[in-house]
Amino acid sequence: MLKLKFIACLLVLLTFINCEEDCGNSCPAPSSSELKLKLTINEENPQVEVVIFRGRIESQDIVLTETVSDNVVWYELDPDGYYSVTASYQQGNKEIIVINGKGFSLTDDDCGCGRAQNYSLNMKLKN
Amino acid sequence: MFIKSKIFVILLFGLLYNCWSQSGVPESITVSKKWDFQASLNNYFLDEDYLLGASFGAINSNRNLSIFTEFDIRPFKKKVLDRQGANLYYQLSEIRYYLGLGAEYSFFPKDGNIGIFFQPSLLYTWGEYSGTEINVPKGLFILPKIGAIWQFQSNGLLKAGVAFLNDHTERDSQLSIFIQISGIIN
Repeated sequence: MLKLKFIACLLVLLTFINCEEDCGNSCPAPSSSELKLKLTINEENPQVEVVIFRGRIESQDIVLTETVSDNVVWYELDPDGYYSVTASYQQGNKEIIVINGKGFSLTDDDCGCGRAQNYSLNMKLKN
Repeated sequence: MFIKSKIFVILLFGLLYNCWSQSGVPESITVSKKWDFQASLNNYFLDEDYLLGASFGAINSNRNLSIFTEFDIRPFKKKVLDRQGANLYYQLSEIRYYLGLGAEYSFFPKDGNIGIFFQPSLLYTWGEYSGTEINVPKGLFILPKIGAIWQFQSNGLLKAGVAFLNDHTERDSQLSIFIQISGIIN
């Protein structure tokens, strides 16, 4: 019984020591969030122009413009705020601009510090 | 999906006709004075779309009449095309919500636990497109539902039927398969 009490006390002590070691006194700055974009790359659209905006597209606050040729691409962005994305396609004689967006936010880790999350947006053409 | 909906409607009406012809038309709608609380989980399966929701309301002790308030959401974004010019289209991701009131009348044949229901609702729908401030079509619409109801327990009801969801969203067919499970608290 005494041994059990000793082990329990030791475990509690170790838990506190570990937390202090992990958390420290201040939180580190959160790293970037990763945004995964899923695109339609086909014969008609071997390359697609992607534009990322901070806020809605009407804000015209462009973060990045790039022409991509992969079905899936990743971008590193600030870990909070709302981002909108456009991807421009040709379909016959039609020009189709796919618009989508997502709000980024931080989550609290075990020490109560903000941690960046990863996101995904479907920018594929509708079948 | 549309062909599946058609087959489902044909099967459903076959079942309803069979149920109706065996038991006859009810002479009158009897309304009990005692009402119980009812909570339901709603599912609508549509052409490339799905809605999930809940209803809360009151049901009479005869279990043939209920009134309720309903809230539904589209948990997954729906892709819609919005024409901007002669050859220019925006493909938008639509998020949509529904809130409204409804009533239901159900009929069970004598000593039977399988019957039919008719459920009209008046809903208001609104929503948003992800990534843009373009306004989503919104407004009131009537949502009629009809189908089969199974009282699997004294306090449990399962309904399967069809709903005509004319909700201002662009889609090939407004016909949806409706499945609802309800629990009653006495």
